[in-house]
Amino acid sequence: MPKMVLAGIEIEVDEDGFIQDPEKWNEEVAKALAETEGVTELTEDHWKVINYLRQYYQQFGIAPMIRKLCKETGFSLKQIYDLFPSGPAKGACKIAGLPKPTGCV
Amino acid sequence: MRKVFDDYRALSDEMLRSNEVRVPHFLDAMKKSLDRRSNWTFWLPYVLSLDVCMKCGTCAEVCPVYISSGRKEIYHPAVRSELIRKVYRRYFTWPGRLFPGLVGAEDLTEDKLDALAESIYRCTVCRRCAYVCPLAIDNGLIVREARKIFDAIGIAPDELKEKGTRKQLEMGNATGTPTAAFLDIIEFLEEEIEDQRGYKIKIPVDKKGAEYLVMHNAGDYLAFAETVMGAAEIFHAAGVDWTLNSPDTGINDAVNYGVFFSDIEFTEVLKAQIKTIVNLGVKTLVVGECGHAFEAFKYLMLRLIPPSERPFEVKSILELIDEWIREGRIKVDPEKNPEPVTYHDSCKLGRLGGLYEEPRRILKACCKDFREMEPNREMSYCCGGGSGFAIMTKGDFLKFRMETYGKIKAEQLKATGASIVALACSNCKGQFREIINYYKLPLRFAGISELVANALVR
Repeated sequence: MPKMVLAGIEIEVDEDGFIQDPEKWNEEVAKALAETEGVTELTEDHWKVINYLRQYYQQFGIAPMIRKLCKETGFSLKQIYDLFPSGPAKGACKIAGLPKPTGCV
Repeated sequence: MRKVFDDYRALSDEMLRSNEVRVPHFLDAMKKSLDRRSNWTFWLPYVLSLDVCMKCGTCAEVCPVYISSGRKEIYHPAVRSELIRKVYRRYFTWPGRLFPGLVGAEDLTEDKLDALAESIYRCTVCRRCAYVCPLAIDNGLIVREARKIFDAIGIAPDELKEKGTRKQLEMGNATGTPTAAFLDIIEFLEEEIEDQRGYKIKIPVDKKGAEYLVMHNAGDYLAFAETVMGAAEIFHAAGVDWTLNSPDTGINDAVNYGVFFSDIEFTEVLKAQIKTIVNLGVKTLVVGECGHAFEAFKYLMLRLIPPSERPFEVKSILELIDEWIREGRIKVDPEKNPEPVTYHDSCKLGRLGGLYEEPRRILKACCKDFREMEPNREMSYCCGGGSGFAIMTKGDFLKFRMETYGKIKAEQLKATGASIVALACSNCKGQFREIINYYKLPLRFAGISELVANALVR
């Protein structure tokens, strides 16, 4: 498994750059991950999405449905793509420190 | 990543293990694949396809990757098959063993093996070429057999195997949704239907002995929930005895990525699905909007599982909806979908599965302005999501999907002037989501079930 230095910490990541140990995630790591996704600044709107993803993941062990993510954060899917250009799965989940979503999503 | 074939990579260096000696293992696995007793499912069309190509090039003229790449020879379907044929002749035919130079036989090297592994993941096995080949050669079948050989030596995309079939067998679905999350999803969907339509419906889960078990592609719950909601509204409106199932019952995901790369994985997943269905004691399995799952249950299952071990009927959700509209079991009003709607034929449902008229009858009944995309039906272009591509995004692979298959599809879509493209396959939905985003197209995609639910008259 490759390793990356994110916010001064050495963290294992998969081939797509998703961190492997959710425990190592913190806000600084999120900022460093955001840069790998071409998101230069994490605004309040970004954090709203990130925090919801993390909260849902901690409760259920999986990323939430996209429809639920939109409903709970009040953003349309297009707005989420505007915030996270790689989309909710590859972009937002990565920055939130979740594992890469699998299956046909 | 290191270049081994073109500018893209479907398989990581870690997966390819290029520093190891793999050729002898590959040849062993290939030998097995050519033996009728150990590979009987499609042995005859496979070896005939290896033996008889006359290199007329008809296949290339219809291949979406070849055409959209600016006719790059490496993407020519017969050139790709020839990579396998050279190995076949060199090691498994007498003339090739004795006079390799005369019969187009070539040694397989470790570098060629890398290139071959990548090459077979540039084709979605859409089989448009097989449809036009004057000799009925199936390049798609050759690609799939090659993927099987690679899987036998431990080389398969992790999206399809490690995080696909393996995860599905462990968790009940390839998305890794646990039961608590699944039940939370169902509750949310019931609320959403109430919010959107103003009426309450109960979505039954794990109901034993129901007439219909609706098995969706589990990815639909997470990414394309409108399809799942639509299906629930339709079954409710039809007033039939139906159920979904949770991971508690076994497998609650219609997908079977073994279809794309491995008979062994395929059979293991299928048997686990059958066990779940039999335990639930339902009369009919309804395959949700998923192309390859339809192929698996409707066709491949017949070749692998004796009838006594599969005591249930199999129907695509499209077949059922079409029947119900025609017999008046559900009533629909096309005025409720006034926007122009077009339909994209999924390769697995159409060219492979023969479901051309069902979706069209449904859409014409439910939408005011239905428009064909050209070409369509047998000659429909693959969107580029097929054979697992929709979930493969390593490195620049998404760009490959967009700049080849996606480019043609975007042009086709624009030409229809439609504002909605109806889709009946999850992989298509994943690919169209990206195409619409990548090419900034002024339209949206919708599942057939979603459009039918919109049109329901209560």
